[in-house]
Amino acid sequence: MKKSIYILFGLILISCRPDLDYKIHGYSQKIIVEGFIANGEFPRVYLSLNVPLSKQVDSITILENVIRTAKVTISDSINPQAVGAKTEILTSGWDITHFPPYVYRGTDFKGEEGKTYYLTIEYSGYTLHAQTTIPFATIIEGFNTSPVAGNDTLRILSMNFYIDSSRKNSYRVTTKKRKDNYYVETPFLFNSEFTLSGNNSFLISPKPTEKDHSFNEGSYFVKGDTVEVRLCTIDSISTQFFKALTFFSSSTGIGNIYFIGEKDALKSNISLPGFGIWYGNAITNYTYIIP
Amino acid sequence: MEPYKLPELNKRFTISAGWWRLLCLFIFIGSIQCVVAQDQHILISDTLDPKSITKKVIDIKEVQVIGQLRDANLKAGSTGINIDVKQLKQLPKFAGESDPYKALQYMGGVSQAGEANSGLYVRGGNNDQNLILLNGTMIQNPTHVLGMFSVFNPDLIGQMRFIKSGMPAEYGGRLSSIVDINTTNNIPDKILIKGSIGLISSRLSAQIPLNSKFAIYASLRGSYISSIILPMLTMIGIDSLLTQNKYEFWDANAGFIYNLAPRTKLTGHFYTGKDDMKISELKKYNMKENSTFWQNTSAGIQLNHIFNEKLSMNHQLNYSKFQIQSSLEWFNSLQNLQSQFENISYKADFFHISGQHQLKFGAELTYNEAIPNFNSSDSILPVEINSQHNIIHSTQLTAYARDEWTWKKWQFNLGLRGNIYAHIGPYTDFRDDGNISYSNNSIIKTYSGLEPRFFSRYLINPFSSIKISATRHIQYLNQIPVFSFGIPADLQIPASLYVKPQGSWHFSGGYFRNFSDNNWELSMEVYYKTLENQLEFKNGIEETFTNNMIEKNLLVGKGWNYGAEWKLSKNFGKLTGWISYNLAWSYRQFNQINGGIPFLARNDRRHDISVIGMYELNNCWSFSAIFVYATGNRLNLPLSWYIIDNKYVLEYGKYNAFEMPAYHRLDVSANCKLKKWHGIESELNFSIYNLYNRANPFQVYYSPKNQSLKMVYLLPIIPSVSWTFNL
Repeated sequence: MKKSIYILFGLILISCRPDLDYKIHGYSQKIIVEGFIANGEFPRVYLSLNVPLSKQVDSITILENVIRTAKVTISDSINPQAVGAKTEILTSGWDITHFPPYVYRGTDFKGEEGKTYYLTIEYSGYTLHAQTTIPFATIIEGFNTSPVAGNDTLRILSMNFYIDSSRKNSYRVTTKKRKDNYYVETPFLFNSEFTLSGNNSFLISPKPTEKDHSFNEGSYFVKGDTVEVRLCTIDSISTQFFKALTFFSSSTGIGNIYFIGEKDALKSNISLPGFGIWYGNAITNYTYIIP
Repeated sequence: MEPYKLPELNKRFTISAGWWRLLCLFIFIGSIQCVVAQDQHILISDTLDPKSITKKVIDIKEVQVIGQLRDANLKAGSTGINIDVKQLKQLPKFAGESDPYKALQYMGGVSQAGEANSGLYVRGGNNDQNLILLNGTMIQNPTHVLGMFSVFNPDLIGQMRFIKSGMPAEYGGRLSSIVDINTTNNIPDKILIKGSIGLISSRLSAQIPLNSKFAIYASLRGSYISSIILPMLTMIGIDSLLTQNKYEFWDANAGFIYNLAPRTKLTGHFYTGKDDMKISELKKYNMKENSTFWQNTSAGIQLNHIFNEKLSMNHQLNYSKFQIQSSLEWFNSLQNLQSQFENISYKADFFHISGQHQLKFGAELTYNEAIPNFNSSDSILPVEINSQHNIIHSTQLTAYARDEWTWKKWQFNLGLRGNIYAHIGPYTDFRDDGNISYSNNSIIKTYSGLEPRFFSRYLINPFSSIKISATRHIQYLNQIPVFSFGIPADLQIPASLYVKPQGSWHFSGGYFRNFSDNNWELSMEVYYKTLENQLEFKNGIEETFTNNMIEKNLLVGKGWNYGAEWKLSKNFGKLTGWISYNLAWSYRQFNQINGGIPFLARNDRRHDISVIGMYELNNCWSFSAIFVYATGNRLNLPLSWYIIDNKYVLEYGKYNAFEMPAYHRLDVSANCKLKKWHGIESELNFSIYNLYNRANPFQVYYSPKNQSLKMVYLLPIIPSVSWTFNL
C-alpha cells in the first residue's frame, strides 16, 4: 500500500509537462509615441521603440530603446509654415519621473482649451503625423467622504462634477497624497461610453504600487491628509486609446489571463510606422483636506 | 392490440411504434419494457452461446434488448446515433462520477474540449451551436463545476441520441448538433432505488410505481468538493490558494409517467441545478470578494397518443431558464453582473406511416426573454454603470415536414423547416440622435428563413453503404463567451434589431463498412460547413462592467469548417471499444479582427484521436480505458512589448496565431460487481483520471513579471473510488 502511495506521489512530482513551442512570427518595429499638450502647459512627447518579447523587461532594455535623435515639431496649424502659425521644434532631455524616461519638451507656447495642435515626428527616414484638440476643462463641484467600515481613520473619497454630454469627453483622475512623490491614477475612465450627462458622482479609487508611500492605504484616504486631485478631460479619440490601455496593460493584466478579448490593438492616432497617442488634456487641479 | 409472439433468441423481428412489455419467461428475470419510437427493429440476444438452450435456461444472467440492428450503422437513416448510455457509464470516471454527456467528446466529429470544459465542439462549430434537450426541454448550459461535469444525472438517462449531420427537419434552432436526452419513461414493477457515493459528490434516485398506470421518480445529487478534494490537492502541494476557493453544485430531477389509456401517455419532468463558486486568485486583481452562481431550471409536460398503427402524435409544453450572477468587490464597490435567458415553448408533432413512407410534421411556438448583461452596484462607480440595457423579448413560429422512405437499396429523408422570428417590444434603442422606444408586443424586427434538409443512403451490399446529406440551419439564439474557461458567463444575445440570426450550410458524405458478421464497423466521413453571422464580443472585459447596449457592441463575421473523420468500432464480445480520428480545419473571418484576414478559430484542432477500450473479464470484473490526443487550441499571444503612459503594454500579433500544447491523457478504470447483499446490487469503481499525470494547460498566457509564457494546469492524476448501488 505504501509503495502505491509513493508511486502516486512520484507521478505527481514528475508530471509530464509540455514544452512550449513559442516562436515569434511577424514582429515589426514601431515608433511608440506618447505625447500630450495640456491647457496652460508646454507640450511633452516621449518616444521609444517596441521591443521583441525575447528581450528582458529591465531598465537597460528600456534605455536602449528610447529614441533620442528624433526631430519633433508642434504647430497650431496643419501647415507649420503658414503665416501666423505657431510652430516649435521641441528640445529633448531625460525625465526620470516617467517611463520611458526621455522627453521632447516645448518651451515656446502653451496649450489652450478648444484649440487643435499638430504633431510631426521625423526619425530614421520616417515622418509621422498626428493631431489633437484640447477639450474644455471640467470643474469639480464638490468632494465627499464616507467612513470605511471598521476603521476610524480611513475614508472613501468621491467627487462630483457636471457632464455636458454633447462634448463627448471622458475623464481621468489622479491623486497625490502628502506623503507621495508622484500622482497615482484611479485606473478607470469615467464616461468612456459618453452616455452620462448632468451632475454625476464618482468614487476616487487610486491604485498605489509598492513603491508609493501610500501603498498601505490602498484606495482609501487618511483622515486629515492633504490630497492633490487632478481631473483630466480628454476627447473621444483619446478615450478609445486609454480605455483599451486601462484594461490590457500589465497594471491590471486581468484581460489577458481570464477573459476572451484583445480582438484589436490599441486605437492609435499616429500615422504608421508610428503607434501610440497624441492627445489634448484639459487639466483642473484641486487641493482637498480629508475631513 | 394483439400481442406479438416471442421471437426466438437472436432472431430479428419488427414491431410498430408504441410501448411494449417484453416478458422473458424462461429466464425469469422479471419483465423488460422497451419503447419503440418508430418502426424500428428489435433484436433479442443472450450474452452467452445461443446454440445451447439448456445453458440459456440455467445460466443466462440478463437479456440484451438492442434498439437497433447490429448493422444499424449501415442502414440507419438521418436520425443520428443512439448512444449506448450503459456502455458509456462503464468508462473511467472523473472523481467517481460517470458522465455519458461528456463522453460524447470521444465520438467522431467532436473535438476534445480541453481542461475544465465540457463544451461540445462539433465539426468546428461553437459550443452554443448545439441544441441540448432533456425530455424535449432545452438546457441552455449543461455544465457543472468549471465544465468538469454535465448537469445530467447518469442514473436517470434512459436514452441519448446524438445527431451531427443530415439533421432531419423535426430538429432545428442550432447549427451544429443535437443531443436529445430522455429519462426513463417506463413504469417499473417495483420501487427502484439507485445511488452512488463518490469522492466529490453523491447521488440518489428513486422510481416509484404508485399503480400499474402511474409512477413518479426523483433524484438528487450534491457535491462536497470544498470539504474533500480541495484540501487533498492542497495537501499534495498543488496550490495553497485552492482551499480558499469554493466550487459546489447540486441538482434535482422529479417527474411522473401516467399511462392514461393503452395508447395514451402523459409524462412530466422538472429539473433544477445550481453551481456556486468563488475564485480566490481574483484577489490578485483587486477583486477582493467574489462569488458566482449559475442555475438551470427546466420543466416540461408531454402527451403522446397513438391513433392507430399508422398515426400517432406528441404534444409538448416546455419551460427553460438559465441565469448566472456574479458579485465582486472591485475598488471599494460591490458589483453585481447578471445574465439570464428564459424560454417557453409549445410543440406538436405528428407521425404518419403510409406504405414505405414515414411522414413526420409539426409546429412549434416559442417565446424568449433574454437579459444579455445587467449590472448593478451598491455604490456610485468608479466602474461605469450606465442605463443602456434592455430585456430582449422575442417569439418564433416554426413548422416542419419531412418524409423518409426506402426504395430498393436507397433510403431518402427529405424535409423542409420554415421559421418566422420576431423581436418584439418593449425595447429602447439608445441612439446618439435620440432614443427610440418600442411599446409592449410591438414588432421591432422580423427574420424568416427556410431550412431544406436532404439525406440519402445507398446500400452497396449487405456489408457497406454510402450516406450523403445537405442541410440548411438557422440559429436565432446566441451565446457569446466572455470567460476563456469553464464559467458559463456567456452573454445571452438572441437575434434582435441589431443582431442577425446565424446561418449554416452543412454538406456531409460517408462510407460505412462492417466486417466479421457486423462485429466490426468502419466509417469514413467528410464534411464542409459554412457559417454566417458569427458573433464575437467587440470589446474586452470592460464592456461586461457597463450596461451599454451589448447588441451594438458585437463583431459580425463568417466561418467555414471542413474535415474528415474515421472510426473503427468493435461493438460485440468481451472486448469492445472504438478508435476515432478527426482531421479538421476551422476558420473565421471578421472585418475588424486580424485586419480582415481569415484566422483559425479558437476551437480549431487539426488532429483529434480517441481510443476507447472495454473488457469484461468475468462476471465480477470489467476494465476500461480511454486515451485521447488532440492538437492544441488556438489563442492570441503577444509579439512585443513597449512602455507608454508609465504602463507596460503587450503588442499582439496575428489573431489566434499561437497553438497551445497538445492535449492528451489516459484514464483507466476497473469495475467490480459485488455480491448481492440484503437485496442490494452494487458495484465498486476504481478509476484513475490522467494516469501518466500529463500537465494539460487549461490556460496559457504571457507573464510580464516572469517575462515568459506561463501555463496554468488544473487536473493532475486523480484516483477515485465510487460505490454505485441498486435496490
